[in-house]
Amino acid sequence: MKLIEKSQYTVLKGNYAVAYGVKLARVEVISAYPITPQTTISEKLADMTATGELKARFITVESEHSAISAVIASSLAGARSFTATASQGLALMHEMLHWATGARAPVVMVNVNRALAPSWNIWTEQTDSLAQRDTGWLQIYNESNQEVLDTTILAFKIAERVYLPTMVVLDAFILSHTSEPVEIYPQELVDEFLPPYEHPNAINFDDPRAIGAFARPDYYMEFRYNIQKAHEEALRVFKEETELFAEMFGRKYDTVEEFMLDDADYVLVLAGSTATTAKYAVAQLRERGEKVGVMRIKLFRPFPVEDVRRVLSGRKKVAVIDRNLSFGHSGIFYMETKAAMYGAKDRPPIFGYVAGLGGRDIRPQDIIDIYEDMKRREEPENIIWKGVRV
Amino acid sequence: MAKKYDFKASELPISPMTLTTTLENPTGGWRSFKPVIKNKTAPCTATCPTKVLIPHFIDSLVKGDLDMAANLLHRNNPFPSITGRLCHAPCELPCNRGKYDEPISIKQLERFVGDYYLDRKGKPPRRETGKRVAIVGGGLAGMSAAYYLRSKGHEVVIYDRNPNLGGYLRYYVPEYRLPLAVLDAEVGALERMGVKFVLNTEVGRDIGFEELKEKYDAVILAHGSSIPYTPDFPGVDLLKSGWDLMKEVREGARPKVSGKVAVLGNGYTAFEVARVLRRLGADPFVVYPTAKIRIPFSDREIFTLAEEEGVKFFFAKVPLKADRRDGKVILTVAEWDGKAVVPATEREMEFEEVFLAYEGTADHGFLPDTIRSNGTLKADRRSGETPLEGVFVAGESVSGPSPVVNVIYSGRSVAAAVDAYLRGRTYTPENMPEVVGYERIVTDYFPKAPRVPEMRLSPAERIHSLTREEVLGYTQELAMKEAERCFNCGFCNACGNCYVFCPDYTIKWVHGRPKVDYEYCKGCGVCSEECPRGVIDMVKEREF
Amino acid sequence: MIEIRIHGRGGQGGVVASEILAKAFFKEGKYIQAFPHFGVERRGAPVAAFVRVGEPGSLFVRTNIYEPDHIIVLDPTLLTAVNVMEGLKPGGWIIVNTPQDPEELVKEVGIPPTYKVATVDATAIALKHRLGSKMSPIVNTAILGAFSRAFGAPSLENLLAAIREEVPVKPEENAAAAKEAYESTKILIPQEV
Repeated sequence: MKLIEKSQYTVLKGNYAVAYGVKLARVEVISAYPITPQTTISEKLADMTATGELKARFITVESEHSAISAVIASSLAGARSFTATASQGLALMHEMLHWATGARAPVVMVNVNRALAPSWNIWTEQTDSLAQRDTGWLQIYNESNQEVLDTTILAFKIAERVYLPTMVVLDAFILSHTSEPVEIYPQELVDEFLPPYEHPNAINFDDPRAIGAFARPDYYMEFRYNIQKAHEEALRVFKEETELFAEMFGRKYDTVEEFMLDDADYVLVLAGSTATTAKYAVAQLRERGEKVGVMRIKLFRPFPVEDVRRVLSGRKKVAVIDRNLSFGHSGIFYMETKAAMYGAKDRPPIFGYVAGLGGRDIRPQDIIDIYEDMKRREEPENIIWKGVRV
Repeated sequence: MAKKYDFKASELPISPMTLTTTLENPTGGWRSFKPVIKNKTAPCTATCPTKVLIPHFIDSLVKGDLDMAANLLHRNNPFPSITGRLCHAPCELPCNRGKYDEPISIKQLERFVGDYYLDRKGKPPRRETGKRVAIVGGGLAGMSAAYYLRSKGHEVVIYDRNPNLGGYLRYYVPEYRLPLAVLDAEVGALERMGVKFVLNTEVGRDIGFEELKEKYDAVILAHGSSIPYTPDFPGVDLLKSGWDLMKEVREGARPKVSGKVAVLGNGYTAFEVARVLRRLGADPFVVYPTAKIRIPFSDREIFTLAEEEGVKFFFAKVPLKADRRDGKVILTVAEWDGKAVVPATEREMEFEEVFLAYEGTADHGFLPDTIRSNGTLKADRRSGETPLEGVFVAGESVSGPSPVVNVIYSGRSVAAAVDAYLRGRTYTPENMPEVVGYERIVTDYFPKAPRVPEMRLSPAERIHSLTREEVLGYTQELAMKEAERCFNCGFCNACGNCYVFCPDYTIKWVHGRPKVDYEYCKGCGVCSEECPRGVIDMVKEREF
Repeated sequence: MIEIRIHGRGGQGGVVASEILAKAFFKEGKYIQAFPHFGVERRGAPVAAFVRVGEPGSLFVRTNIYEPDHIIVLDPTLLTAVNVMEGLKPGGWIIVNTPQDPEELVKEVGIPPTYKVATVDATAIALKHRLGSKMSPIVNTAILGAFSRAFGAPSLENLLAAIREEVPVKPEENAAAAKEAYESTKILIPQEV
C-alpha cells in the first residue's frame, strides 16, 4: 500500500473533483448537456477527452434526455459510462432514469443539487435528486470535494457490482464551485480498487439480443423483485466497498456519518454540505455543555434503515434538517428517517425542519436555533420552517 | 404459438432481454391480406399507342444510366428521336402528375434520350434465324417493322421506290420540324443492324408481288398512304399541289410566293403547308372542314404552332369551286355542318394562289384482289395478317393517315406477329397490366415542382427559317430536372420506402430490390400505404 | 480560522484571486476554502469572493463570509460604491488597489483607525506588465502581492508558485506583477490597533 504516497495533493473545485474521479475511474463514454451549476464538469471532461488525458468518447447531445439515453446504451454495450446534470436537466431525464434501472445499466451520474423553477434559481436545494427517489437509482450525498472524488470512484465500483445506476450528489456552488484541498490518488491504486467494467448481458454482435425486452405480467414482477434484491445487496456492497476503500485510500465512509454522538441526547440529522456547518455549530454547543451530535445521511438509496435505527434509538430528541421539501407533506429526509424509525425500539420524537431552500445560507446560528427550538418543543411536528418570513 | 417459459426470478437475466429471436414466431400465419409487389402500367404507357415504358426509362434517366434509359425506351419505340419531335404525345394527357401540378414533359425526355443514343444504336442481332422477310415500303411503318424483325435475328429486306428510306418524313416533312440528319441516323442504325435496302425499286413495276412472296418467308406491305387525295369540284385543276411545294422546299427550292394564299386540307399536311408558305413570305389561310374545337388532338400541336406564326383559318368551310381571274384565284367556299353544305352560305374569296394539301391515300394497285376489298386491304388491325399466308400489312396502307406513333406501333405489332408466324407460334397481342390511378400515388413524397420548359424558338424566329429546328429540347441538366418530377407510377424504382417502413423487417432487400418474407409478414399493409407509386397491392389471403 | 473577503468588479479576476490566495496558503500547509459569491453577476458588477484559511482538521463552515477578518479591494471606486467594510472585524487589514498613500486614502474614504491599511497601485503595475487593457486591467495578481506583504502570509515564494499554477495566461508576467506590488506596498498601521 505504498502507492498512496504517490498521491497528488491539490486544490480543486467540487466539479473538478468529479472530473478527476471520472478520469481515475477510466470512464469510457461520457455524454452530458450543459446546465448551471454542472457545466464545468462537462467542460473539464470534454477538455480531458479532447487532449487525450482521458481516453473516452464524449458524445455531445441536444438534451439531458439524450445524454442519459446515450450512456444507458453505452453502458449496456459494455462501456463504463458517465453523465452529469442538475435540476431541470435531471427532471428531463426522469423517464430514462427508470429505464436505466430496468435495463440494469450501471451508469454513474453526478447531480449537482439545484433548485427547480419557477421561480428561476440556480442555487442549491436537494429536491431535484430526491424527487427521483423512486426511479431505482442508488443515491449518495456528499459533504466535501474530497468525498465527491472518492464517492465518484466508489459509485462505479458499487454500481457495477449490483448492476444498478448510481447518482452521486453534491451541492450547487457550496461544493461545485468551491475550491478545497483534494487528494488525487495514483491511477494504479484506483485501478487496483476498480477493475475493468463488464456487463453479463453486454451487447454481443455474435449473439444478438434485444435489450429492454417486453415482459408480460407473468414476468414483469420477477424483474422488479430482482431490482429490489439488488438494492438490498447494494447496502451490503456499499459497506464492503467503503471498508476496502478505507483500507486502500485511508478515508472511511459509511451509510451514515456519526459526529459527536457517543453520549448525545439530541441528534441533528441532515445530508450534504450543510453538515459541515452543523458540525461547527454542534462543536460550539458542546463547549456550552450541550449533549448534541450530528448524523449525516450519506447513502439515501438504498436507505440504511438498520444504521439509522442503531444511531437514533434511545436518543431524547431528533431534529431532521431538510434542504428540500415534498409539498403537501414534509422534508424528505425527515419523512424517510421517521419511516425507518417506525417500529424501532426506544424511538425518540423526531422533529422536521425545513431550511435553506433555493440556496439560502444556513449559518451556524441557524443550526443552533434549530437545536434550541427542538429542545424547547414538546410535540414533534412534521414541518417547522426555519427562517421563512411569514 | 410462442413457447411458454416458466423461469424463476433467480433464473432471469440481469437485463430484461430476449432469450430467443423474434424468428421463433412465424407471424406470417396472422396474415389475412398479403402485400404483393407488382409493377403495373402507368397511365402514360397505357395511353401511348406503342406502349413506351415511360416510368422505366425515366427512372434510369434519374439514376444517370442513360444507356439503360435508351434500351428501355427502344424496347417499344425504335425511333424516339423522331417521336420526340413529331409525336402528338397523348401520353402526357393522363399523366398523374398533371393532377398534382403539371404533367411530365415525356416527349422532351424521350427526345433527349433518343438523341443521346442516336449514334450509339444499331447492333446486329446475336443470332440469325435464317428466315427472310421482305418489307414493301421504307416509310416509318416499314422501318419500325424492320427494326424489330431484325432484332429477332431475321433477315430483313426493305423495298422502296425512292432513293432512300423514310417516305413522307424524308420527302415532305420540313427540315425545321425533322432534321434530315436525324432521319439519316435512324436509317444508318438500321443499316448497322444489318437490314438490307433495295432502293429505287417499285414493287409491281420493278419486281412483282408474287416474286417477293416466292423469295421470302414473309412479306409485309407497308406502302403507306402516299397518294395525295384530290377533292372533286370545278376548277380544282387550277390549284397548286401543297405536297409538291413541301417536297420542293425539302429538296432546297425556295419558290416565290407572296400575298394572300389559301391552303385546302383536312389534317397535318394542310397546317404544315401553311407554315411553309408563311416562311416563304406568303400570308396563308387554311380552309378547314371542321370547327376549331373539332381539330383532332393529334393535330393540335401543329395547329397551335401555325396559329402562333400568323397562319389564319377558315373553319367549318369547304371549297365548292375555283376560278382564275386577273391572275388571281377566286375560291368559292361554303359552310360545312359536318355532313353537308349549309345552304346559302357560299362566298367568294380572292387569293394569289390556292394549294391542295389533303391527306394521302393508299395505292393498292400492285396487289392481288384476294386481299383487297373496296380500295382497302383485308387485314387484322393488330397483327396485320391477311388472307394470304405469310403476307402482312402495316402502317397507313391499312389504317390511312395516322400519327407517327400509331404507325410505329403498327410496324412493331406486325413485326411481332410475323416473328410468331416465322417461329410457328401463335401471335398474342400484348396485355397491359392494371393501370395505376392518381389515387394510388402518395403525393406526400413529391414536392410540387413546375414542368421544366424545353428550349424552343419564338414564333418570330421560326418564320424566318425553313431549316433551323424550331424545338431545341432539353439539355442533360434540364432533362434530369424534369425526370426527377416523374412519379414513376406503378414502377418499382427501388426507392426503399417499403423496406424502411415495414415495422417487422419482413421486407428484405435482395439484389437491390424489395422482397417480402411471407413467413413473417403479418400483412399490416404499411408497405402498401407508403409505396409512393402504387406498386404494392394488398391481396386477400383467401376467400371464404 | 481566518476569513478574507475580496471585492472587485465582474471580470477583474476577484474569483481567481481567491483561488490563488487559497492555493498559496495551501502550500503553507493550511486547510483552505475559496469560493465566489454565488451569483449571476456579469462583467462590471460589484462582486465578492471569499477565502477561509485554517489549520488542517479544524472545523470549517459552509456559508458566505459575513464578518471577514480582512478585505481586499481590487477597485478603489468600490470603496464608495459598496460598503466593503461591512462586518470587517476590528484590527483587520484593508488592502486597496490605489495610487494613493494609505494616509490619503484613510482621510478621503473615512476609514476608521481600528483597521490596518495597505495600498498599492496594482493598476499601474498590471498595465506595466501588459495584464489586461487600459479599460480593464487585470489587477488580481498584483494586489495579492500587497496582501502577502501586509499580512505577512502567504510567503511571496508560495504566492508566486500559486500564481504560476493557477493563472491560465501570462503566468510569468503575473508573477512579476505580484512581486513588484509586494515591493511597492505602502502600509499604515494606526496606533489603536
